[in-house]
Amino acid sequence: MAEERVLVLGAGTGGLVAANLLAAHGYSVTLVEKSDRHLFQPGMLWIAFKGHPPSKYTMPVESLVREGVRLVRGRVEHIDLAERRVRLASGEELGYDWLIIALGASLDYSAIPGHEKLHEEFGDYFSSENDAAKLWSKFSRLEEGTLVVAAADPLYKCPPAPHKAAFLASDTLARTGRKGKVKVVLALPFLHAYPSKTMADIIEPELEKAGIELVTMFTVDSIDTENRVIRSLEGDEISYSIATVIPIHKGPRVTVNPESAVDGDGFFKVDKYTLRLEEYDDAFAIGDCSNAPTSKTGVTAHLGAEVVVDRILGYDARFTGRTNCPVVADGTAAFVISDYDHPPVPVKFSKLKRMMEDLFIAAYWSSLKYPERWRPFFRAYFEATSPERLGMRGW
Amino acid sequence: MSDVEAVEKLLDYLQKPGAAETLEKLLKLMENLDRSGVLDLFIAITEPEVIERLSSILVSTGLLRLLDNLEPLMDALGRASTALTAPAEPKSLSQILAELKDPAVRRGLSRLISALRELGSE
Repeated sequence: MAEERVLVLGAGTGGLVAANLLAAHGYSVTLVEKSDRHLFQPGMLWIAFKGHPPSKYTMPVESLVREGVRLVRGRVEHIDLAERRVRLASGEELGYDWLIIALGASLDYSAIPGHEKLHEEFGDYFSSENDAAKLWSKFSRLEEGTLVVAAADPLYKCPPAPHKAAFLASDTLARTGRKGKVKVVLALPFLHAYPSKTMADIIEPELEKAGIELVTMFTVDSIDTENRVIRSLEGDEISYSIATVIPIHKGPRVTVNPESAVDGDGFFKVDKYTLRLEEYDDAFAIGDCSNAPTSKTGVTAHLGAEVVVDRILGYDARFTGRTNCPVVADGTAAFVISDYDHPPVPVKFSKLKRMMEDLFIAAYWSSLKYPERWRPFFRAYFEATSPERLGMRGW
Repeated sequence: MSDVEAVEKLLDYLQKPGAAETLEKLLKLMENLDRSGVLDLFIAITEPEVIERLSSILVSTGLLRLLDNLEPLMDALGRASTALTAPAEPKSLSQILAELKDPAVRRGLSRLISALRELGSE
């Protein structure tokens, strides 16, 4: 088995966990990555709204790769599932016995009129550490006015990301004496503060406590950067001094043979339990690039990678769609805990959860490089906090 | 990072004010831990099989819930401990019944009954 060639596309959370786990089992793994640095994506929130240095959240990919993993620098251009070949932009072709696609989602700033210009002016906390630093440079100098945090579409990475953005911004404003002068508006395309009413009921009082203005049913339709106004599909508008809008998410920018392997938005069509590509026994998609009906987060990418590795090793592992999305408020945090079979259970804000989130962040790099070391702890944690175990009593 | 680069990085660190002293203290601590056998214990605890066993014992739903409620629980127990250790005259039955009119007493009893129900539910 171990002499089979495994090709992993993308050195994000899912790709690194899969590649390093397989290497630990003696597999010969080739990992393709276009960037020379790995970005801890939630770190962009801390860069943009807390002024953390970008260097804190990036690491050379090379330093995160175990012995036994051959790292190939390059951009994936074409995936031929029928021929079992992948072509890079350089023209290099790579064959495989097993393929793990972990290319993440791509961000489309052109879908909404005015979005590219807004992104160019203020940066954001979704695309890169440099854009997050740009947003901080604008936000930290805003003496009065309105900061609008919005989402263009209900489908985006890390569902509580805009909430975290609003909470962190509000906390910074309070600490810098600008609370009464700068208003934070959280505009979301949902009926409540969160898609799940259970979590919305927990988050809404915290938003109120932080003085964050919540606007629901606001799906961004256009951004008028001249007059600094965002208009929604529902017919409302919000004025801003600074605005950051989560862009439309699409599947990775690659061509695929056959085209039927991806859905209309370019996400790879998978069996939601095995993460195997429909009609292909030797190819999987994990994390943000798949159409698995769960949240697009680092936790789902990590857990998905473990399932795929287990399946390659011959175990009948199943992905549960488990989420553990942190919602960070002022000194406290809550987690959005759900899976395919259970909607989010009630999880209240607490200091313990905030400390746990801080520890998860501290353990991030190690958990990518040595995932098998962290696996027993994570397994125990996810079992202890499974939605089934917590029930409606929650945590 | 090459071996030479790694050594250079270490030498750079040692040139920082106080770094050599910190390292010396660390080595002394390690020596003490080694001689007392604690270091061997730590090494054993960090072996994957032991971490697996420890995780399954320590990371439980009950403990996570308990830790989550630790702050309000300690606050309540702290206040209760003051009342428990304060001098008190025995109250008559009618005085005790009168105390039951106090909403705080009724709330406390309700909490105790809820806790007892949980204890008896499994």
